[in-house]
Amino acid sequence: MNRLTEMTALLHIRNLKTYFFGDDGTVPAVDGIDFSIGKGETLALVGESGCGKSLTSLSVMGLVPGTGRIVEGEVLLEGENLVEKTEEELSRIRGNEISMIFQEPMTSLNPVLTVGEQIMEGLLLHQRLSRQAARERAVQMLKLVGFPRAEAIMDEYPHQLSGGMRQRAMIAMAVACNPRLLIADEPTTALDVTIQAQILDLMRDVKEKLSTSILLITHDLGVVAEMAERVVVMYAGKVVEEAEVQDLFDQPAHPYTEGLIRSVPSLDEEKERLYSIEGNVPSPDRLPKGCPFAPRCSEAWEKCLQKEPELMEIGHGRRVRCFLYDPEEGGSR
Amino acid sequence: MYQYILRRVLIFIPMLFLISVLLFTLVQLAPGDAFTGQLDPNQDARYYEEMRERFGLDKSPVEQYLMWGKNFLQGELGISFRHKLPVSELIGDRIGNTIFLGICAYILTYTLAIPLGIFSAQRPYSKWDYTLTGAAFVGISMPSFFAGLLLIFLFSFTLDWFPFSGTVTAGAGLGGMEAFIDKLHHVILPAITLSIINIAQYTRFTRSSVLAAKQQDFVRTAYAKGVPASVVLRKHVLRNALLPLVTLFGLDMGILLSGAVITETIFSWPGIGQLLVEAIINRDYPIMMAVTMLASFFVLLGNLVADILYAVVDPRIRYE
Ligand SMILES: Nc1ncnc2c1ncn2[C@@H]1O[C@H](COP(=O)(O)OP(=O)(O)OP(=O)(O)O)[C@@H](O)[C@H]1O
Ligand code: SF4
Ligand SMILES: [Mg+2]
Repeated sequence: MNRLTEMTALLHIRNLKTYFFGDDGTVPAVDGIDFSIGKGETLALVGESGCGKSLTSLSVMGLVPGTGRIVEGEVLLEGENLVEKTEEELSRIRGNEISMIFQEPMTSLNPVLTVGEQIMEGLLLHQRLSRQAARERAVQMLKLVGFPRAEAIMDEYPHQLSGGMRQRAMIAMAVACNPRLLIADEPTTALDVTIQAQILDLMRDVKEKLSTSILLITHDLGVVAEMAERVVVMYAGKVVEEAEVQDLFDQPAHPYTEGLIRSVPSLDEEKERLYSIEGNVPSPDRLPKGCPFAPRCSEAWEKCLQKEPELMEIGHGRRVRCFLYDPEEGGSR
Repeated sequence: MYQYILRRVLIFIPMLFLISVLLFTLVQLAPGDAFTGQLDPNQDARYYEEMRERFGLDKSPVEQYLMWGKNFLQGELGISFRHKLPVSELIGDRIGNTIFLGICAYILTYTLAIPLGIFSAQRPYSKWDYTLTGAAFVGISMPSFFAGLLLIFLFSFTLDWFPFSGTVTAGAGLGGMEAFIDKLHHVILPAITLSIINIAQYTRFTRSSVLAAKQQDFVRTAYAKGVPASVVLRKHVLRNALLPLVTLFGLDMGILLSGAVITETIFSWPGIGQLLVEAIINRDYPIMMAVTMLASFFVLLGNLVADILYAVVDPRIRYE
C-alpha cells in the first residue's frame, strides 16, 4: 500500500486469491493480488486476455462465477472486508456502493424490460424511493448520460437503442444510486471507435459530477492514457507492475509492460511492422516454473526459470515483479 | 397489429379450401363407400341403390364436392350416413367433452411442467434433477395408447380409484357440484394420458430454457445491481426463459381442441376425436369432412394465437 494510506484509499485489495475448482484440478486464476484505489481516482487494470482482470473485479463484487471461490485475502471497502459479508449484505452494497458496467451492451440489458424499469430497479431497491421519485431520478440520470429525450427512452426497450446508447443506459443504471466505486470492464471494447470516444468522455464527465472512483479494466493502452491516473498491470493472475500513468508510458519497468507499450500502433511509425509480444499468456492451470513471463521474456536468465520474483517497491510509488530490479538476485536495473 | 390479424384470418380461407379438396380426394380414393360394408344378404340390393342416390353417392366426384361445398358454406354439414342425424348435432353433443378434456390436460401440463422444470434448473446435476430427467424420458417415450392402458390397469382395475370410461357415472342422476366432481373424477385418467408427453417435454424445455437464461449477461447485470437472487429468478430469468412456452400454449390449443383421437377412443370419451375414428371406420364422410375441417380450423387458429401471444409478451416482436 504505497502512496495510498488506509485513510485516503476507498478500496484495498489484499492478497486476493480466487481459484476455480474443476474436475481436473484447481486453477489459480487470480493468485495473490494487491492494489488500492483512492477516492475519486481512476485506476486502470490492464493485461492480455485471460490474465484475470474480469475475475478480479467480479471477486470485488462477490460475483465469482461457476466453480470459482475466493480462497484467501481481503477486499476492504473503507475498512470493511467484503469477503466476509453474507450474500444479503453484499446485495445491499452491489449497485449501491459499488456498481459495474460490462463489455457487451447488447446482452447486458434485459431484453423484455424497458430501459426505465431497469434503471429504476436499483433505485427502488437501495434508496427506497417511491415509483414516482425513482422515475424522476432515472430520467435525471438519462439526461446526465446525454439522452436529450430521456422521458421517451424510459419506455423503450433495449433492442430499440444502438450499442452506444445502450452503454449510456448501462452507465446511467450503474451510477443511479451514486456509488462510491464504478467498475467498468472493457466498457468500450464492443463499440465503434467514434462511439468509444464519446463513452469515455461521458465516463470522465460522470466521474467529475458524482466524484466516483473508477476501476477501469481494459487491454487498450490508448484508453488507459486518456482515462487513468494510475495503472496496475496484470500477468497470469498476478500484479506485475504498478505505476502512475505518465511514468508507465515514459519508462515501463517490467519487460511485459514494455512489450505491451511497444505493441500499441502509433501513427508516425506506420511503416514499421506492428510489434507484438511473442507467445501467449500461459493458462493459469499450466504455469511455468519460475517467473511466469520467462518463456516470452527477452531479458530472462537462469534465475528467472528457477524462482518466482516478488512484487517490490522501486520508488516513486512504483512496484514491479521482476528480478531485474533485485540486486540481490543479480538484477541490473 | 389488427391488420396483421385480419390478414392472417383471411389466409385461413384458401388454406381451408385446399384442405377440403385434399380431404375429399382422399375419401374418394378409398375403395367402396359407406354402404359397402353394410351389405346384408337379406336386404334388397335396390335399397342400397336408393340410399346411394339419396346421399348423392351416384354423382361424379366433382359434382359431389360442389354439392358438399355449397352446403358447407351455408352452414349445412350434412346428415350422417350411419347415425341418420345432422352432423352439426353430433358435433354439438361432443365438442363440449373434447374442450373439457383439452382444458384439463392443458391445466395439468402447465401447472406441473413449469414448476418441475424450474425446480430441476435450480439444482442442475443433482439427484433430484437426474430423477426428473429420467422420469421425463420415460414420459416422452411412452406412446399415449400405452400410457392410457397402463393407467387403466393400475388405477381402474387394480386400485379401482378412477373410472375408465365415459364422462359421468351412468344413471347416478347427480346434480350441481356433485355432477361436476363426478365429471372431474372421470376426466383424470384421460387428461393424464393426453398430457403425459407434454408434461415430460415441457419439463425438459423449461429446465434447459431456465438454465440457459441464468447464464445470460443481463442476469449478471441484475446481480451487479444488488437484486436479490429470488427476484433475479422471477423478474429476469423466468420472464425470458418462459417466453417460448407462450408459443407452445397457442399451438397446443389448436391440437387439444381438435380432439384427442387415441385418448378419447381408449377411454370411450364421447368427444369429436372418437366421433372421427368411428366415422373413418364407417366411411361416414359427412362427419369426416366436418370434424377434420373443424380440427384444421382450430389448428390454424392456435397458430395465430401463438403468434399473437408471442408479440404480446415479447417487446422485440412486432407485426406490421
Ligand atoms: N467460469 C469459469 N470457470 C472456470 N475458469 C474460469 C471461469 N471464468 C474465468 N476462468 C479462468 O480465469 C481466467 C481469467 O479469466 P478473466 O475472465 O478474469 O480474464 P480477463 O483478464 O478478464 O480476460 P479478457 O480480457 O479476455 O476479458 C481465465 O483464463 C480462465 O482460466
Ligand atoms: S523476472 Fe526475468 S523473466 Fe521475469 S520478467 Fe523479469 S527478466 Fe523477465
Ligand atoms: Mg474480461
